[in-house]
Amino acid sequence: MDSGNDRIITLGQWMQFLSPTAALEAPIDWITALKRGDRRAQRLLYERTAERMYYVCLRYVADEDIARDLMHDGYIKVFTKIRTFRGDAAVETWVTRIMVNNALSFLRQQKRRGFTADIDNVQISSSDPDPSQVLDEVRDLSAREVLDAILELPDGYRTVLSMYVLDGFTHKEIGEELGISEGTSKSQLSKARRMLRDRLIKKEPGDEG
Amino acid sequence: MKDEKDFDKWLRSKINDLESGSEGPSDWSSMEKKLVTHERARFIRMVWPLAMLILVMFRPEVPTAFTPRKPLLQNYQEWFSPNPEPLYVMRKREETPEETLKEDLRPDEIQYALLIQPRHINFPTPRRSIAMNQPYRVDGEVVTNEVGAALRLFPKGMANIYPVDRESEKEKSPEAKPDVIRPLWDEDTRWVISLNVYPSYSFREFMVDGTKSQKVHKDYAGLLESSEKGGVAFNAGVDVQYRIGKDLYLGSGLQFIQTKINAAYDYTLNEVPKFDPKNGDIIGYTPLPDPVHFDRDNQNAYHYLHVPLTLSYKPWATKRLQLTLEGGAGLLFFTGATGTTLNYQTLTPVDISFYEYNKQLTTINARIGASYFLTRSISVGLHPTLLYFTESIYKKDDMPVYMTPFSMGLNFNVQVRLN
Repeated sequence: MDSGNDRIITLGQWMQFLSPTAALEAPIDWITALKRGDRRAQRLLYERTAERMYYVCLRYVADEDIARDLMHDGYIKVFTKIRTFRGDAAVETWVTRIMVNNALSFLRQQKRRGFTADIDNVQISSSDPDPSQVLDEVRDLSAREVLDAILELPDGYRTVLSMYVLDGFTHKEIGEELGISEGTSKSQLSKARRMLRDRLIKKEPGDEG
Repeated sequence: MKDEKDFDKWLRSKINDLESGSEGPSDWSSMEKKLVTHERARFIRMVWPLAMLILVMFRPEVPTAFTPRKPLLQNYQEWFSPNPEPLYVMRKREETPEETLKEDLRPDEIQYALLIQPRHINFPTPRRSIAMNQPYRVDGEVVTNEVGAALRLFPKGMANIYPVDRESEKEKSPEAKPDVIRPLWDEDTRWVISLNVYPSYSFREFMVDGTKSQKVHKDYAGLLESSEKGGVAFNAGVDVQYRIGKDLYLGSGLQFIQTKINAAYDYTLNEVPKFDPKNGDIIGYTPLPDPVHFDRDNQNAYHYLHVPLTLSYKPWATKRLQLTLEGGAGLLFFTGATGTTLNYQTLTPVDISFYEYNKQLTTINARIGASYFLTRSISVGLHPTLLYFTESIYKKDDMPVYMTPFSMGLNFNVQVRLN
């Protein structure tokens, strides 16, 4: 029931949203405000999620300037398409999906223009170190060092790894998004993990470079 | 498998730590600026066609030279009954200058016209002399020569008027056209529909973005300039014009527009570029051991739907000819492209759909020409037409090449006036 009162966001509701413990399981009225194009609601969503979304974009495109532009474009899409948000998932999950799709669309454009490296030509060391052993060795690496190692991966590997491990896509969804088979997705993920482990081992803890 | 899951979990927690940290650009002001620009552009795109439609459908009241309402005979009699007051009084009260009447009237005709002029209607501009010394028949009734003469200064269609002494001719030939004093073009209609068909010759302005030239093959610009020339395309559409002033029309329509480029690629590829994988910049060229020769002719066609908004001015006319000056802007909707062009990095031929195109573009258009009236409601026209795109057809995001077409055409149109 969308009565006139439903359109008013009470102070309590704003506080609920502003509360640091409040997850972005957004209250209905806040979503209504976003759907109405309320600038305050848009700002709140942006300020609460932009940092994370920036890194989401960065993970896919591996370029800070492009990631910033993609994030802005992504938010324009978020604010434009918010009317289609049905509330099946948390807003943040929905925003992340839009950012990922935006980044994938950008990568597709780059690929068409021949900017991306050919994955098949990437050399991976034949020996695959034991994952648990690697984990012990790299556990103390900083988050930034781990991200840098991910950003050093070739586009294809980085994309599949990000989608599956970090953004919760299934192999079927990855296949549909990237136009590859599920088998290819699995094989690329496996290679991506190996290459990432390879690179992580080479990084010394505390070496930000 | 478990090890892999542990590794993924560790990776996720590390990245989550980073993403929930305080770094990263969350500056709302720059985001808001982009958002406002986007919303403004979106609003204009949405409102523009609507505003155009509203303007055409519900035009603001613009004074016109006559009332389109068809009056009854008694109104004629009432309006045009000779004023008993002396002429000099009438002139002063009506404040109608004599120069509103054309010089081809005799002085006594001008005096008479001023005398009988109704106070609440602007006097139309007559183009031919009126005969003063004969009775007239108006809508089947004979009226005095003065009233008949006055009525004949008014637009045709308000009444069926002809001199009584020509009645015998009319009876002999009932199909004969009523005696028309006004020129054919002097319209009392509001709506004009035109069917346009025209060939046009396409040109284009081609430019490489100086700031992104490192993304373009060094020979691309020269090769494209020498290989691609303008071509002839055919365009067609329907225009609707609405009269908003004596000689002014506001128009819109829907046109199918094409631009065509004739391409004749005949070149030898001696080297291929080396790219920086990080940003796609060309960092050098590698000679090909076996140079490849390309020899291929084709025609590239770009298809659009065009919705123009025009203002037409018709400053001069004779009885059957009318001059038109027209200018305006328009929205183009890209519908497709066919043909082959060159990859700006590798110089290899690629399908034209390889590049992304702007889905919407704006244009400036202008035309000048003449229409010949076959009847009062149908005319044919020849109008040289210029259509200029105001921006590049390519999406600008990261495209280092701009291409802005323009075309010159000879518009042949058939216009039908609706009443």
